[in-house]
Amino acid sequence: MSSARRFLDLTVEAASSSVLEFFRPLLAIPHLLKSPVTSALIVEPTHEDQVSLEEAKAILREGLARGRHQERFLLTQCIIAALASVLALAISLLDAFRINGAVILAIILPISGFAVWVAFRVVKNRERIIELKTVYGLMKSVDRDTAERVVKQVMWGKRRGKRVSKKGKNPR
Amino acid sequence: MATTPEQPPPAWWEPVWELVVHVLVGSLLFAVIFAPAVALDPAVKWLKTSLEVSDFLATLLTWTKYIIASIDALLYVIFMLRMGWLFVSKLLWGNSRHVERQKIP
Repeated sequence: MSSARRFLDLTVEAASSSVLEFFRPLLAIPHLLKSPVTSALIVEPTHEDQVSLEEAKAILREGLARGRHQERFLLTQCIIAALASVLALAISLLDAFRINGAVILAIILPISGFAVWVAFRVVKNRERIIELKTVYGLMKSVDRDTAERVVKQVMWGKRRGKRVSKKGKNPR
Repeated sequence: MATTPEQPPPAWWEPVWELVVHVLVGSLLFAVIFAPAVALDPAVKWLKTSLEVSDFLATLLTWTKYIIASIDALLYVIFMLRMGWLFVSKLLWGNSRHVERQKIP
């Protein structure tokens, strides 16, 4: 009796989740268009949403781990798709214009390299914008003393980062 | 943070049955959304020949048909890939947090 009940529950749950999952890509479009970091900072926390510092740290750590996992997954997909696209383009150009394969690769590879560089720069720029927005949102949401401490830490962190990298490159 | 109690491991048939239900419901949804695109095909022809509607309307309806069919096919492919991945994840990792992570938008 309980297994039949379990079977029915599972079927209903799977069917209802199927409907949601089918339209999830459409529902995810507006979600992707807005920045999650800044929107989370703008919303004022209610009494129910208040969590302790340790819990917040745990949530942040989990979010970071999930982000890194997804990043690796997306990077792998991106590399596979890019290689497949370059290969397909090279083969189609080889057939279409009857040009030597080395010539086609000599044209395609620098263009692909440039495209990768541009994409990398765009992503880095986006990361920097989000970072600045986060710091700005944080400064607006805390009191003046804390904001000053945050600014000092951020500026100090940036200077220290540069010094370390320079020392690493030119050790004396 | 509240911790959820340990769930018993699912029976072997549960992920398989879930996949079957997902495939059936997904295919049904695909068919329901694809039906207007199929119906538009003869409708455009009939409108052109019998009622002699303007080229603009015929083109508009044709593009509507293309868009419906393309979006539907894209959603179906994404859905099938996601469900396949979810099934493989459940087989490999069971009802672990990895599977739960896949559900987070």
